Amino acid sequence: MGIRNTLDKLEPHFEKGGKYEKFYALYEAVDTIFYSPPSVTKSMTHVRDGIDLKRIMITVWMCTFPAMFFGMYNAGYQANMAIADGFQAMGGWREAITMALAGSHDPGSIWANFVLGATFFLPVYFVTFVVGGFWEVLFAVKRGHEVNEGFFVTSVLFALTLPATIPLWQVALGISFGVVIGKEIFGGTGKNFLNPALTGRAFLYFAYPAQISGDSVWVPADGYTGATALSNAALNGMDGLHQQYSWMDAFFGFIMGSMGETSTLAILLGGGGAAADAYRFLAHHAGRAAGHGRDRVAVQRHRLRQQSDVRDAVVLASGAGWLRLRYGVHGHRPGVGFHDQPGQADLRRTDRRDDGAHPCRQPGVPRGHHAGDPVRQPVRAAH
Amino acid sequence: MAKDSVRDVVLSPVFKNNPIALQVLGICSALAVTNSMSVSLVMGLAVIAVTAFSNLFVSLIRSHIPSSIRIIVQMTIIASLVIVVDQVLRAYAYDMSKQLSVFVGLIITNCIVMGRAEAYAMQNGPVMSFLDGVGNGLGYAVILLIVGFVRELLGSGSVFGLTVLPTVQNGGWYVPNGLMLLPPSAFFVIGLFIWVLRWFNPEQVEKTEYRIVANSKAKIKETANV
Repeated sequence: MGIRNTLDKLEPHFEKGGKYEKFYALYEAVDTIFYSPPSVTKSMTHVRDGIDLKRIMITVWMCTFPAMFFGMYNAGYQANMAIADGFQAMGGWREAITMALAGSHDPGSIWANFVLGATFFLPVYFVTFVVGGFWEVLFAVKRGHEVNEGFFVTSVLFALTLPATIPLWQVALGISFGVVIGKEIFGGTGKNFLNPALTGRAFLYFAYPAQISGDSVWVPADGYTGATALSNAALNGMDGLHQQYSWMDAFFGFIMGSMGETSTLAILLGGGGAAADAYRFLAHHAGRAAGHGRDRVAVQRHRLRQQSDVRDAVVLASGAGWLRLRYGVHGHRPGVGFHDQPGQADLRRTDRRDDGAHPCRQPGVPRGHHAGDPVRQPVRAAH
Repeated sequence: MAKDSVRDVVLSPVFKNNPIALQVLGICSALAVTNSMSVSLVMGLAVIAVTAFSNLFVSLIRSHIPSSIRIIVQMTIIASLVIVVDQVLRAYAYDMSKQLSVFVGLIITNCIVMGRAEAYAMQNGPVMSFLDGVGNGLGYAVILLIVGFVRELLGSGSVFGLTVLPTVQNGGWYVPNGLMLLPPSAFFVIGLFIWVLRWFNPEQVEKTEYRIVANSKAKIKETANV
């Protein structure tokens, strides 16, 4: 609890009347990185969980890592291929770092590709984070609200949608436009109807088309020009495209493009991670919601028994599919899917008394098999 | 209304009660003609002339207009004035009128002109109405010039056609912002201008229509003591 104590000791300085009152937003941001915020939902009909916006955003941020790491590798790979074909490297400090860490421009070396790509991606990401973060904090301080971690996601998405050769001052302008015009002007996170990252990207596309589109921006090698897969297909048809890339090249992402866009596989991996997290969240809460909803459904069972069309509507509307999925994964654990609070435990027993006629009351089928399922329950007495 | 001072009538539409920035009228032409300062200036002058004189003439005959056809009468006056302005531009500034193309004719549909005729000239004397027209036309022209300044400077690196920021294409250092040459950029510039204006005039900010009530409170102190 050393961190908690340190944070608590610092807190008075940032509260109203404290020395650094203006920077409360920053204190809060650091505090909630280490600990969940103490605010809890009190009103009805909310999903409750230890999770908060920051945790969700950080999860999504991590889910972009496959695309990010592959993007760095691929940017370097494309450049090293071009350099192997006789083009010059871009030179400057990037070249110095690449030579110091990797020592060569060998397109066959994963490390050399990765290092070269990183010298292009990391500065872009760093500038995005610093400039965009500046706007975030400025608005948080001025408006007196918390720093929104949505920016974790905005920043990485923005960086991933840019070509490797983008000038850094354009990166700074683009993310400023995205955060200010795409988000803060509407009142900040949750009130914006535009995606800030893509707003910034669109701004750059219209403002500086020469640096973000065309044939010469995708591969960071001096003087190299090459069409992207789509423009190649537009020019030479699908046959021409097949000569350039195989289907698997496109799927794995060994093609030219913005840094994070080329690999379908990497994006799918990240998407799978995000989906798994969302699934865990939804499945958990669908089960709990069902536990809550059960007693209400039980009250309605007489009506439902007579109106099977209503029942069908309940099946469709109640997310019953999620429940089945959940049982499919976790198996059946009686009493886990809903609250084990005294009042509810009583209700559960009441329900079980009705279970007699149900086919699932066979030997070997655990009790409460459908206890969390709002759909199966009311029908039971009708069997 | 009689106690309006000349100063108020002419100056308040420029910043305090700007037709574009506060009443959000006449936006369409503000988007279309602001890609350079000179075009903005001519358009601004044309609108000042039309609003001022339409206000004057509407006010002169205001007691004789039957209220059921007053809009038609106002439109006739405005349309005649716009034709005059258009012809003058064609005679003395042909290139400019080419650049403004349909937008001079479209001053007829500019809500500011008719809005002022209906809201002010129908109730006030000719002199004050004329000044009100000048003031509102000025308010429009000021925004046009500001937007035109930002767009021409950032989009072409020049002001009134004179190079201020030498562009890369001409061997300079400035990379022109292509977005600024497209009409939608005027939206952003006007929006940001309104933001700045309200920063200095907080009374222009509308009352919040609703407020989200906090449904939870941090309880860190209580739990820490338990």
